[in-house]
Parts: sequence; C-alpha cells; structure tokens
Amino acid sequence: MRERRPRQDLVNFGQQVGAICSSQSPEVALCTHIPAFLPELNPPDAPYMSDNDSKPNADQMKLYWKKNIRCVLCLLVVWFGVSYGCGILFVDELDQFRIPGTGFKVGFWFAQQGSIVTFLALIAFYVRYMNTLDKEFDVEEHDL
Amino acid sequence: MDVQTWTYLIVGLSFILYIGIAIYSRAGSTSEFYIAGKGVSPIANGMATGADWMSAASFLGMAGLISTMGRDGSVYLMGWTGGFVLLAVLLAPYLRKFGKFTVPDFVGDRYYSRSARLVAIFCAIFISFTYVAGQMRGVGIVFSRFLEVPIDQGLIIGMVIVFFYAVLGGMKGITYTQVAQYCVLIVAYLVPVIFISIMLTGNPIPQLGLGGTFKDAAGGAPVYLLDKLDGLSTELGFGAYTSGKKDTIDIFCITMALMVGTAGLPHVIVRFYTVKRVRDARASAFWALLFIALLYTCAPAVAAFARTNILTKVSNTAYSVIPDWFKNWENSGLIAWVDKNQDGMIQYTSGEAFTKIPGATKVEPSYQGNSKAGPRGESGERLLKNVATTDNTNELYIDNDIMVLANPEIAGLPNWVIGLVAAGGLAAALSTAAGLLLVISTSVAHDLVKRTLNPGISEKGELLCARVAAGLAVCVAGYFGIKPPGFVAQVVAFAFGLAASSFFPAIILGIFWKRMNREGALAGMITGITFTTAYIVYFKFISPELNTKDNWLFSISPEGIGTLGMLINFAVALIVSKFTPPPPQDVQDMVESIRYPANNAK
Repeated sequence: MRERRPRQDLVNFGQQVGAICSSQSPEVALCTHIPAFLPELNPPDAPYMSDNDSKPNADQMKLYWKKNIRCVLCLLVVWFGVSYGCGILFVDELDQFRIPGTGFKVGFWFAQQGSIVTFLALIAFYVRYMNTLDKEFDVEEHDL
Repeated sequence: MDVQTWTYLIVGLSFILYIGIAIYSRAGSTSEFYIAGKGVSPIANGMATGADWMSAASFLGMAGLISTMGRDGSVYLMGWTGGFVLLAVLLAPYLRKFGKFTVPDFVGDRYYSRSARLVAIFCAIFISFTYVAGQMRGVGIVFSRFLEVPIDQGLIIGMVIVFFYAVLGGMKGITYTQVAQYCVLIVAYLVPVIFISIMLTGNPIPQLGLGGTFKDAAGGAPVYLLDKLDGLSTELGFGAYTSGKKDTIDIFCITMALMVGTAGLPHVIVRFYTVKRVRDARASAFWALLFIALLYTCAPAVAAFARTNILTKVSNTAYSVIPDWFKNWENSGLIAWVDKNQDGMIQYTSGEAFTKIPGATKVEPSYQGNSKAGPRGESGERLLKNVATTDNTNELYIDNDIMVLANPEIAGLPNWVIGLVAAGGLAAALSTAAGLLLVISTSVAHDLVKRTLNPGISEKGELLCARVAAGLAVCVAGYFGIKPPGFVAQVVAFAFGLAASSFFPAIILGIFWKRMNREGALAGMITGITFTTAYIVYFKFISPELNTKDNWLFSISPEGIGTLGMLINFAVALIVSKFTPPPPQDVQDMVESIRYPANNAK
C-alpha cells in the first residue's frame, strides 16, 4: 500500500496545533493531565489483559492510550474554542474586527466558515498523529 | 430543449446509473448486506457518508434557513459539521475495532444486556423512521416541482428506486450508489453558485466571494457584499444580516444538540463499520467532512447571494417588471405576494405577509382556484385564500427552498442546469433515505431477529429477513411520506435530540470508562430519552401555545434540549454506575482491546 500524504497546508496547521498542545498555556496545560473524574484512564497498577496477554507490553499500551487521550483532549479544546468560543460565546466581541482585505467580520466568519475549516484541519491532524503513534507503538494493522 | 425535457433526461439518466450500480454491486451475504463486506476504501466511504449525511434539508432547505436567520444560521453550519470531529476522535476508530454490524450490537455487547440492546433497537428504529419520512416527502416535492407530477406519484417513483437498490444491494449497493449520488449533488449545488458568485462579486470561488466586494450594476462606489446586505436588511427592518438575534444560550444548546446528535445518528455511525482497518475509519471521517464541507462552506454564500438578489431585485419593484423566475415560482406556490396597499409594488419587510390557513401546520400560501390561470389580481398576481395581516407592511412570502431552486434561473444559466439541480435534490433525498432504511432493516433482521429472538437463524434466512424488512420499511416510509402525520416536520429536531440524549453518552462512556456498567447505561439512556421526549412533546404537541422563550427551561428551545438531556444522561449514568457492581471481566477486556488497532507483540 502506498502511503497517502496529507496536504501540506493542513499538515502545517496540524503542526501548529501540536505546538500549541505542547506549550504550557494554562488552559492547554489542563488537558495534558487526565482529569480526576476519569481515574481509570490513568490506572496506577490495574492488571492489563490483552488479546494475547503479553505482560511486558502492558506499560507500552498504557502509554499509547495516554498519548491518544492527550491528543484527543487537545483537539477537543480547539474544537470547542473555534466553534463555541469564537463562533458563539465571543462572537460579538470578535465582530468588532475584520479579516483584512475581505468583508468578513471575524466572529461571523468563524460562525459560518472558519469553524468548518478548522474542524477539517483537526481531523487531518488526528489522522496523521494517530497513524504515527500506531507505528511507534507497533499497534498498526497489517494487510491480511 | 426546454427545461422539462432536460429535467426528464438528466433525472432519468441518473436513475439508470443508480440502478446499474445496484445490480453490479448487489449483496450476496449478510456481511455484504450490513457493512459492504468491510471492503470500502476511505475515499469512497467519505463520499458515501457525505451523501448519506446530506439530506434534502441540507441540499434544498439549509441555504434558505441561513438566509432568513442571518448569522444565527451558524447553528446548522457548525452543528451539522462539528459532530464529525467527535465521530473521528471519540467514536469511529473504536467502533470499527469492535467490528460488529450495528450500534445496538455495541450497546448490547458492551452492556451485556438484552434490555440495553432493546432500548438501542427502539431508538435506532424511531430515529430512522422520523428522519426517513421527511426524505420521502422531499423526493415527492422535487418531483412535483420539476416534473409537474403530483407529489404522491413522485413519491412512489422514488420508493420504487430506493426499494430496488436498498433491497437488492444492501449496504454494498447503497454505498456505491451514494458515491454516484454525491457526485451528482455536489456538481448540481456548485455550478449555479459559482456563476452567481461571479455575477455578484466577480470571484469564482463562492467561499471567497462571500467576503468580496459587491459588483454594482449601477456603478456605485465599491462596497463589501456583506456590508451592502447589512445595509439593505437594516433599511427594511430585518436587522443587520451579520448580527445575531437569538439568545446565546439557545444558540449554544442547539449547536451542541445537533453536533452530538450527528455523532449519535445510527446511519452515520454504521458507515464507519464498512472499511477494512481502524486507520481507514479515521481517514474516512476526514474525507467525509471534506466532502461535506465543500457544500457546507458554500451554503452561507448561497444564502447571502440569494438574500442580496431578493432585496435588490424584488423589494420595491413593480410586479409588472419582476423577473420571470419570480412568476415561475409563484406558480409553484413557493413565492406569494399580496398587494396590501394596492400600489402594484412589492414591499418586503419583516413579519408574516398573511396568516395561516386554519388547520395548516405553518404559514403557507393557498391559492384561490386550482389552475395557474386561476383568479388573478389587478397587477396579475395569483390571489390567495390566506387573510392578509394588518400589523405589518410586508407583502411577500418566500419559501426557504427557493434560495437553491431558483439559483440557476436567477443566474440566467442554461436549461440543463435546472435539470441538474432537480437531479441533485433527488440524489440528496434518495441517498439519505436509503441509508436510513438500511439501518431499520439491519436493526430488525440482525439485532431483533438474529441476536434477540431467533439466534439459530441461518445466514440465508437472515439475509432474506433483512430484505423483507427493508422492503416493508420502504412501504411504511412511503406511507408516512404520502400521508405525513402533522408531526413529521416537528420531529426532525427530535431525531437529533434523541440521538444526543440516548446513544452518545452510552457509547462514549462505554469506550472511555471501563467501570461503566449495565445499570448505569440503562438508567442514563432511559432518563435522557424520557426527559428529552417529555420536553419536546410538551412544547410541540400538548401546549404549542406556550412554546415561547419565557416558558422554556433556562430559555433553551425544544430544538436545543437534547443537550440538557445528554448532560442528564451522563450524570445519571456516572452516579448509578458508582453505586452498582462493575461490569464482568470479559467486558472490561473487550473495552481494553478496542483501544488498540492491533496488538502485534506476540
């Protein structure tokens, strides 16, 4: 199978999202810690049972799942930010500004177009990130 | 060739194409019938999901809704796309790894319970039926508008087509017809918009044209299209187009209910079972949203362009010099005009031009006389049975669907484009109807008969049962389409609320919280559905007169209440789980195993 390369601009955006995720701004720092109400996502020493029950592999699997959750939470923060933040809660504040060179007010643009474009970029980033993670932890499926 | 001939030709060709594909890719086994044998490529699956997801409402109705709602139209734009992010990162990969056939399969296995499976079957069938009735109606309406056959006859033609490829082809058949239908509908949507964008702004890309400058035929100073539109709207008393009118909390809740509902709709979820690998499920979500976004980012442009056209070309214009498309659509009942002040000019301001006919569900024009020749007023307009309102000066009624339907004529495009738009509308309605009918058939044959009532049934028997169920579902859906119970229009929002408050929390907790057990899931789903149903039924059916902001809970409208239902579901499920025994070890192992695409360390 030939590997499919995502579009470069989407990838760049994805890398920016990644950069934001690894920076330590307060609201993003939140999502690098697993919330307390989901204790079993980060179990202290829960027995790990896999299909073929291989013990040394358990820590690796836990790490894979933790990285997966962290990525998902970061993406959901952005998802919430562009749609509910820029498009709904702060739309009037953002509407005071315009996207230079166009007739779009910033809030209006996010509400009707920008959020959709960002959603697409988020999924593109997720697909790429998870494919890399699958390879790194050797959990990718091989062709039958 | 005239419009009629072109329309028959293009619609006929598209139907032959769908049937040809169905025969070529008919299903031979239950796996092919339910999930296309897991052999669909991510791009094809993305297109099929796009067609499956975009219904007659997205294709015909949404642009019109946005056009009247202005910025608030974003609830549909964001609500019906944002759910794909949730699907991609929270549901699709894990459900694909789980790898059975349906949503009730997952709920039943994950919660080791027959009751949970039955609740899920009931929800899946109920959601699908409410949704499919509207689609069948949409098929009938497109037929009646473009081919001038009665709505009921059009609907029966549509039923025969869907029957053919859903019953014969199963998931495999509808997947490849949906790919074709996506291509038809996207071309039909984009061609007129591109020309209108060039006409109004000089920019061939509608998404950019929306933010571009308005090309004034009179040669005035250059002004941005959106500013021009804001100015015109404010002048006529509608309020600025780019400002919001609804409460922020209501917008928030409706958007959330639509997003989460999207992620919980069984006919969308099941599409992710049809690909080969987990990574293909993730990629499918990307392609699906890309193909959907192509239409959804154009919709606000269509809305703004159509609004500008109506405000500049129709408002304050004499009926005697009105463009032809206005009169054409007046004949179809999508536009109506009452000359309240007898000046022969069309005044368009805010408010309803006339009251609804007693017994009708919404304000719609009803003409005096049955033929186009019927009684006409002094200026030549068709006379109405409706009583004109006196508390405002608005004289114009415009149906939402007109914004898409009239585009080719407004842009002065050749007749074949009109035929193409008709084929596009039919493709959107048929593809969604087929997807939903398949969910109903699978729920009956697989979940109800095979997994609950008669586990010993043979593969052949199950396949026959699935086909019979699909056939019956087509007939029931058609019946609802011909004789729509008054509530059909009201309950589409219900389908989303129900999906949001039932499936979504049960699936999410089932994947991400191993401790989640049967008792919690059942309690959560039942309270979620009961609360949402009670609220909607109360405001829509029992006391519709109380359906105003002052009476709503936290000023959340019935359209957005699914969000609250979902939160209640989550809360109840978490609390009940905490106080009841954890799920058995084999279920916990299953949850662990769906988290990894594969385990290669042997």
